Amino acid sequence: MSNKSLPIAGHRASLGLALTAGVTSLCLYQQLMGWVLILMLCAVGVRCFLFYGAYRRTLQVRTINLLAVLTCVALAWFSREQGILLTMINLMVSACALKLLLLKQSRDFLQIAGCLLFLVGCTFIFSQALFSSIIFSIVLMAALLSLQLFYAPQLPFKGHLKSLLKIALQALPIAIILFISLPHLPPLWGMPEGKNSETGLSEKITPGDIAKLTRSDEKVFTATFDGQLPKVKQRYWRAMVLEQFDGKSWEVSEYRRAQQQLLKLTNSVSYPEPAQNSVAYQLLTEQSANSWLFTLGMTVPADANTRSKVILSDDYTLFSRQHIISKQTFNLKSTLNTPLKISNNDIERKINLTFPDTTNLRTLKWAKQLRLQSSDNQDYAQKLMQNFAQQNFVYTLTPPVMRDSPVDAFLFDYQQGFCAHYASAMALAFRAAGIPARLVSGYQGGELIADRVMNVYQYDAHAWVEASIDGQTWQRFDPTAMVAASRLLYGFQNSLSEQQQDLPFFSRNRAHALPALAHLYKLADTLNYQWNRWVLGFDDATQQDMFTRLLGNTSMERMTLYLLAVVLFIAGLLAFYFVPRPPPKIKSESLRLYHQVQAQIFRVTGIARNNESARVYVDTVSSHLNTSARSALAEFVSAFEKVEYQQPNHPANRQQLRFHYRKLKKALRRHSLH
Amino acid sequence: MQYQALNSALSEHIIGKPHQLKLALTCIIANGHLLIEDLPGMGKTTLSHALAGLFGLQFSRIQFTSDLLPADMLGSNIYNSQTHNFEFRHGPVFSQLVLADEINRASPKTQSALLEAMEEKQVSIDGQTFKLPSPFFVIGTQNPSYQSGTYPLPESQLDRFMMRISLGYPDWEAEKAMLSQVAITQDRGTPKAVVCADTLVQWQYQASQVHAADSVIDYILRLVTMSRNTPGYPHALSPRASKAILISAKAWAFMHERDYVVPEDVQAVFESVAEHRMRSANIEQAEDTVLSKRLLESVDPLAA
Repeated sequence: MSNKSLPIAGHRASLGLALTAGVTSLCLYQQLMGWVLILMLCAVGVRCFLFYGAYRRTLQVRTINLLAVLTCVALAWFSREQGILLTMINLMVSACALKLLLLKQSRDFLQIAGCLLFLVGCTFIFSQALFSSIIFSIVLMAALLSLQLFYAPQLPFKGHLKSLLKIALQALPIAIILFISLPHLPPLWGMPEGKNSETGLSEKITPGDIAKLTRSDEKVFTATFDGQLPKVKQRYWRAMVLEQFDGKSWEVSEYRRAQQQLLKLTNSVSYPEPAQNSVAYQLLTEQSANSWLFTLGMTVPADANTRSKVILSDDYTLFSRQHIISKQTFNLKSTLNTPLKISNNDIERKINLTFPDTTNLRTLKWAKQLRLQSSDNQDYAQKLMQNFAQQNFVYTLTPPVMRDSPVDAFLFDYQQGFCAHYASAMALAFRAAGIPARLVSGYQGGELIADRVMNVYQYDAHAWVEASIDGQTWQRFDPTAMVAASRLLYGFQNSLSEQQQDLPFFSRNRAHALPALAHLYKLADTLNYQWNRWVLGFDDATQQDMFTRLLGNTSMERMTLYLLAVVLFIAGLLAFYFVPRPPPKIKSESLRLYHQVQAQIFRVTGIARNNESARVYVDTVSSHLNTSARSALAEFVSAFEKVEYQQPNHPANRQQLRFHYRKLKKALRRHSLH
Repeated sequence: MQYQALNSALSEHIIGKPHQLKLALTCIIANGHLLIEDLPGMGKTTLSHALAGLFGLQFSRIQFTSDLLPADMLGSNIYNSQTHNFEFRHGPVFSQLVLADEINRASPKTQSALLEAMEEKQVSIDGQTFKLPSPFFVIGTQNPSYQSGTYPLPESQLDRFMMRISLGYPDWEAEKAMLSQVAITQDRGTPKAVVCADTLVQWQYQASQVHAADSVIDYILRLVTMSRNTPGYPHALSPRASKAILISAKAWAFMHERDYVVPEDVQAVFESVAEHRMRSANIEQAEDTVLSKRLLESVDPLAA
């Protein structure tokens, strides 16, 4: 299409495009910088004003160019903290916004439309959940609709919707076939790491951090158990082991990090055989941009595919080799009752005994005294746990701030805190008494959404202690249980009755008070689960599996044949859509005869009738025929006109027509013989 | 038949435009108003003079100017001091054939007064209704709208004219013939009547009785539906337009001594009936019949 200038006021296509651009950028609001979003919304507003004719001229190109330069400078400035992908998306959105301000030519329109389609594609990078997929598809439809409005402005809106629906329905089977049957390609570019995603747990806990997480009702993962569910008291999902303590915060030790890096480089890791009574489950993780996985006790991957994707660290935590940038499934097997062995090398023991002796002095002194009073390590542990139960410790999500010697302040001054406070204090007390101890962070509990399907949310985040009482194995201690036992037994919701006031009304936490809402949440969860399992969970491995089941083996020949069949099938579908249907059988006899004659003449002369009337066509072709055919044709057409236009129901005329038809047929046959 | 004589008499006045003359005759026989659109000096007025003269119709001419008032055209009540009464003085519109010359120079008010008279075939002044004579034709002439000092007719009023023809420049031979004619006779005067008005009325009746088969009516319907459903036509064809197409096709068939309509008749009149109803006001004169040509090319007269 040539570069036509477009009307400004009342141009429906431009308005549609602007609104679609606005909605698209709202879909990307987490990825966009605030000012880019505002720029886009302003552009949409300007377009609305232009549409209703409040003012009539677009901005000058010079103004827009100046704005564009400023935008580029700002984007370049922010690009360092944003990473390349987000900067590019911000760039696209701001370019769209500026072009919208300028839009007055068909070329501009097509550029924005192309850009917009790409942006809608980008939204899928950041969320592939069922609900957002539906929303994004609707946005995509809106973009296509404005393109239709652009190309055929006269058509009624209903007609546009109808044809759009038709096109979408035609495209759907092809999309499904391509999704199922085309081998999945690895991603073309890497994802930026963790700048924008909400973090579940962090690799460093300073008691005071987790309160934020506890309130979030974001889903972390879904576990589908093969056999029996673990008991409520065994649902400790280990994510990270925090061994390095600086007096205030616990974090993953440098030693472990280095070890994990090394493990990443090696491919052949031997896994211990799982014990007989192990629990098998499938972990379906939400996207998080982190790499840690969630395991119950000692865990090994259950199949080769999972084995290739994960690393088992020496501290019995499981890591994904890649960052979990999209939903992924892992098949795991956990042994719940086997104690975790402390490793033979001395470094682990040493790390777990280290603590700074310059802070938390009261705690250190108290711990040493308590150890002297105890008969052995086990007794000491008992006493520690009981200490939490006997004293006036309070479980709260809003503890006072403890800056200097936080463990001292917690144990002796405030006695208020949540899991991380308790775990931190207990672990330090163990270490002070010469017992190796560490903090484990992860999730505790989970909500059963279906039989054997369990969802774990961010508010299930928890921290507990592992200590080596006997010097050989790690034993789990959860001091929080001594204070807020119900939190462990009945899940997080029930333990927090007095703190619900500041939760948002429609949050999942609140849902437990309203049965209808809870029901809706449950339904949404189930749908989401099926979507994740069947659509997003359909990865290379599942596909490979399908190929193997379908083809027997995946040899080169069979795959080639299979792909050929797929391509042919799609080509068939396209042909079905686009090849013109054969015309329906003509009812009127005279017309049928005429069309037959026309086909024969076309065969003889090669001249098509381009919507000409009967006589005009005959005049055109008759110079290419011999005399007898020409006169026969003239007679036939006269007879045809008589029947068709003069007296259709006169039997004599019809007979005449048939007679001339036969005569003409013979003449044409003779003509083509010569 | 007599219209052969009519045709040849007409072509003595306008040389070298047989198709346009035929269309003009068709329009008269189809009882429709005619719009002649052309640059000044192309023979618009001559053609209307000739038509009026040949049919022996009572003729009047109104030169439209920007200060022409409806009353100047329709007539007005004038006080008679002898009878102490108001008497209606008939305006020039009370004629069988009215030549509305340069219709787009008048103000919209006057234009709509004329177009109302054309549609109703009667005039209402001060609560009194006066019937216009029968037959009643208006031949409007119009300069192309891009000339200065003109008020282009709105689309709704263009619709009242059954046909729009454009004469255009004559070719070399025709103009040469015309010039040599002028050398012989300086003034041809008003042409003599060839047929009388009664014959014309009779012809109009006969033309309306011409048979249009279902397939022809379907063809017309396909044409108008195409203009409504396909993008690219600024104004779709109205039912009034499809009626006009059928009536003029019948008249065209009647002129060719047939008592049935064939698709060629529809195609012959289609451009002059449909184009001015479909085009938008700001289309250039150069692409004169592009829309109707495109329609004719894209619709099959022999579709099942």
